[in-house]
Amino acid sequence: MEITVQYTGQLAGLTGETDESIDVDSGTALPALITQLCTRHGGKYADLLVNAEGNLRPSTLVILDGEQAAGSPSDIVLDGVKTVMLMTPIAGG
Amino acid sequence: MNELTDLDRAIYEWQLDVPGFGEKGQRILRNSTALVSRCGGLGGPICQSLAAAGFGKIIIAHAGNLRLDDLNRQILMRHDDVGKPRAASAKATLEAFNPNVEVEAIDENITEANAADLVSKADVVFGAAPLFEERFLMNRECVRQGKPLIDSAMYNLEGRIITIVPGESACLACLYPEIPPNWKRRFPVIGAVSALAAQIGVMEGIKLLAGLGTANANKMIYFDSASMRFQTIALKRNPECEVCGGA
Repeated sequence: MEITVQYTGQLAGLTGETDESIDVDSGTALPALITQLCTRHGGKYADLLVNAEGNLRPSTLVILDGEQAAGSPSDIVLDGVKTVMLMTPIAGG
Repeated sequence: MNELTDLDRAIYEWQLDVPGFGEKGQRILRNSTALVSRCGGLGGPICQSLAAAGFGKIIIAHAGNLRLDDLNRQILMRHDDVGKPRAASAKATLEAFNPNVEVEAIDENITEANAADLVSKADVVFGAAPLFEERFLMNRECVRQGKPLIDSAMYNLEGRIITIVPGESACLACLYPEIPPNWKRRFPVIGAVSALAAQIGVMEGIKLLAGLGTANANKMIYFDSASMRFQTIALKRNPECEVCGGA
């Protein structure tokens, strides 16, 4: 199934894109999507999103179809989700 | 509660016509104190609109002197102010703009030493600091003292505004449980983007205080001015939050 991944903040700056489409298998959970994206974009992108253990940084907000995802990322299965918005924290003024 | 004067009615005549606001709303603002953390690209327009709206008092906390590279966005400053304290310059501009507003300029940023005292003096707090450490301090104190916090931020052409009502909505620590390690003090900014985020934040504060419209507690207002896409995002409290405990 196809999911639109939206980027904001520093992620958008790094990718040069505000969104991209990505194919995932049915039953894919959020960490697998994040791994897939980090493999695709590598380096600084991965460092923004995940920590040294490869886990999603807790200060990254994940918005699924307009609503903040909560709970353990591994419990978040993306079936039926159309848009995953990744918001790295910003504090500019 | 101080009543409106004839001068107030003359200045705010057009504002008093706003349905649901009127003299009651104006009186509330007249008797309200706002604390604004930093008076730069975001905080400056926040202060200006608070003064225009007729808040009784504005407390500005911002350390340091104005630099040339502040002038693309810090609209309360003037070229002649370079090298002078930002907070004092902001106070002078605001008092010239609206002498009926009391402005207290603190030449300090929000710190562990002053956060509790400054928040205690305010009815509403506006967060506009470029560092999460300051934002987190204000969040903690606002939650502890039950004060509403409007936390606005921008980056590049994007902005986001979070309205925090302690006990009712997610607090900043619910959303960001740690100091984000990759956030850098320097960020790309066009002043108008900061000002756009500022104005949305001011309206959230006015609505909360005056009971006007619908405040967006437990939501994030996000915009991307590159496309002028605006989005309201539903937020969730973290029951394990170290600051508000989700309670």
